[in-house]
Amino acid sequence: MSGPEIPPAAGPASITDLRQHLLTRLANSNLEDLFRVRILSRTETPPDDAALSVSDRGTTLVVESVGAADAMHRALLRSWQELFEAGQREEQLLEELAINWESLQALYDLSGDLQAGLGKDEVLHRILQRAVAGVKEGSALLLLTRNGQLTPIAGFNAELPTTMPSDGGLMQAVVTGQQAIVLSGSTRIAERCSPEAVWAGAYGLAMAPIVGPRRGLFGMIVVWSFDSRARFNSHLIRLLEALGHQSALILESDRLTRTLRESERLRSEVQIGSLIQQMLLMSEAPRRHQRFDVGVVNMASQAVDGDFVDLYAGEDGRLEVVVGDVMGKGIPAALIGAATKTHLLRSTAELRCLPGGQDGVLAEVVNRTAQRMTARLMALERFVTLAIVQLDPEARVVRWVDCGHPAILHYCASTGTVATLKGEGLPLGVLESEVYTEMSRPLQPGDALLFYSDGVTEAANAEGEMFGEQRLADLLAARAAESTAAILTEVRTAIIAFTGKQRFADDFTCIAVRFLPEGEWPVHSSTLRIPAVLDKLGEFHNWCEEFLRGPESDMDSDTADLVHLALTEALTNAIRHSCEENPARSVQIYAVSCKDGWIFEIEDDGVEWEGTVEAEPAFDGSKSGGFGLFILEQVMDQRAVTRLAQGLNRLILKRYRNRIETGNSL
Amino acid sequence: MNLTTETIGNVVVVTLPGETLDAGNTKPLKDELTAVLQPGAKLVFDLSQLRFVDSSGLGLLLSSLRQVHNTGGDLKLCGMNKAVRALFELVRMHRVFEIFATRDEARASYGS
Repeated sequence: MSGPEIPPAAGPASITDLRQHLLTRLANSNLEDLFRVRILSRTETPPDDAALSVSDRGTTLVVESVGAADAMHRALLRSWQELFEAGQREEQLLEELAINWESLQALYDLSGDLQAGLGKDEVLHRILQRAVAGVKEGSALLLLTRNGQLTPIAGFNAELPTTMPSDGGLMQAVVTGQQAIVLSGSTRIAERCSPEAVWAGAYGLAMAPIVGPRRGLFGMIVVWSFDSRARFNSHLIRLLEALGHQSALILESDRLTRTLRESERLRSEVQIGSLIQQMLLMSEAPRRHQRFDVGVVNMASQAVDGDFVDLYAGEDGRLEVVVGDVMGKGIPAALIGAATKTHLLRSTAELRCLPGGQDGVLAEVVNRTAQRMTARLMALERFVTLAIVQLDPEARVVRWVDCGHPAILHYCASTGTVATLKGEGLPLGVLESEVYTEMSRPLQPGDALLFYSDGVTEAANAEGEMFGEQRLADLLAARAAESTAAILTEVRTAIIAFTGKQRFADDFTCIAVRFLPEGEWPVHSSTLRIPAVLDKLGEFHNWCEEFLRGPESDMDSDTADLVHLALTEALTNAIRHSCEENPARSVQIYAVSCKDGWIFEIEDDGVEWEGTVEAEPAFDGSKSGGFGLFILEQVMDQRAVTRLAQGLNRLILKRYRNRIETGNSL
Repeated sequence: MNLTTETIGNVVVVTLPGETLDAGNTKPLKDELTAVLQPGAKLVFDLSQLRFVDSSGLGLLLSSLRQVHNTGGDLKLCGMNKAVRALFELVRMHRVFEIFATRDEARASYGS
């Protein structure tokens, strides 16, 4: 072999493995005198005439011709490289599969642990064990928020520090964004971490927040490894997020149990039941994401029932929505709803290796779920209606499988008409031989879908007339161009007006999804969350300046002045009236700049808006108040507020770039 | 907060402190202003330090204006930046307040 012997590179394992692979191949083929294989130092760039150059996360391997290598030799070399990469991919897939199984098994075992009456600490320890199970030489730490500070509670393969040393702001980023992060490669971690951090010098690092209901942050799970073979990727993140969710459930249920004991007065089963429902059956509200605007409202009836929804936004831009209803009421129905969701998740994970966006996968998910559940549902004499819908913005198609669920409304922007997505499948638990089929139809930007539980269409007025699907379709068509907040508020207002009642006999669940028209596709976005106190407005003003006057937002200075003012009014209103200036509550503002203009979503976890009407402003200066709402109306072109199923108020504000002046002559 | 005031002749010029006047800080300022909102006072509020005012801040200015008007005094404003001016124009308060570019112009308008 020619060339100096190179010490094993500090870089990714696959590059050193590739080097070894090529050296062996060259030796076996007696070609070692024709090529020199080496790993470049960080400052070197690959030579132009290299026969092969492969980079992976900053480490580069090159193969240079030193003898009389010809085109055939070079082709042989490339085929060896491709073979090696195929092997690596296969290994990775197998590993991902293992991780998926791990996450599913975790969900099952944990619910079993809880039922077995294990203590909270023991269950949390098991969560950590699960978190590192797929990570070579992994360590994990569970931190909980105590008096506003992240405090280490449990460790796995790690000493429990008494206080958390500064980590260079990474943990803060996870807390603020309430989003998991993953870093791999020692250099990247060293760049982002302070040397005092427990995981300083790690090769891979992942952090996931533990987010409870109403967005309260319980803490976070941190996993790291000093072993360069450990894989830190999106699958690990998904596992950590699932475990984080489980931890939140455990902590919340523990907190509730203690509260119940301490208060000495048992709350009614209804309250506990509706909590189960909110936590297990109602999904988190997904943000407006790249291509969709999504909103979920739920008005719980007095009784617990088995309505459930799930929303999954895939990394590839697709959105999946599951809506279902279990026959019957009470906690058993709620638990069957939760079990159905778990089985769907399990079937989906099993099929995750299939290429995405492919026809027939949804049907397979439902058929596997049906196989798992039908016999047991029949034994329990229960059935579940279900629809699973996938919106694919790339293929511009909506696919769905229907299991006896009420129709889903589809507003088509191009024709201005509303169609229904409906299949002929029976509910789960009716017939063991039932085979579910998938249907699809085109989906275009500007289209909107409305999912609803039968409580919506069956809401009746004093004469016994039902609200019905047609009224719902008309509302959808009228509001589809605005926002899901506008659609959902309109539905709610219309039903209250129709029935003359604020409360319903049946649960009332509605999900609206808009496939954003191209003019609303985010070009730039930013999020800020502050505690609901007016002292924190300074932070908001700084963020405002940065977003509104930054080059990406492309907003002229006069507009920025007015929008800043209007947002201040909206935020102040949320802090004062909805959150009652309670620092335990928070207000979040999500801003998007797009082709049409700017969209702002302001969410708070305060009390439900009563729709109090602010006093009329006095333009002669005789009254000091009443200008807030007037300012919002003047500055913004669209405004809608809705109460989301997760106990959040969401206010949507839009300002167009090219606005039609409203003739506000001064 | 420390209010900077300057008395020239019978006119009191008050420099409103801070960069923003919003719902988060109108209350303390309101308390401080009671000292200068004397019956019959001839006041100029210099807003040149302020980068941003919201409707709460505007409300404080309006209540101050009413208070001095009721006792035969007056309140004039000066030193508004573009953003603050935008608020006044949006809610038409530029027709309620007398607004001047500089504190000298505002003071001179009292004829002293």
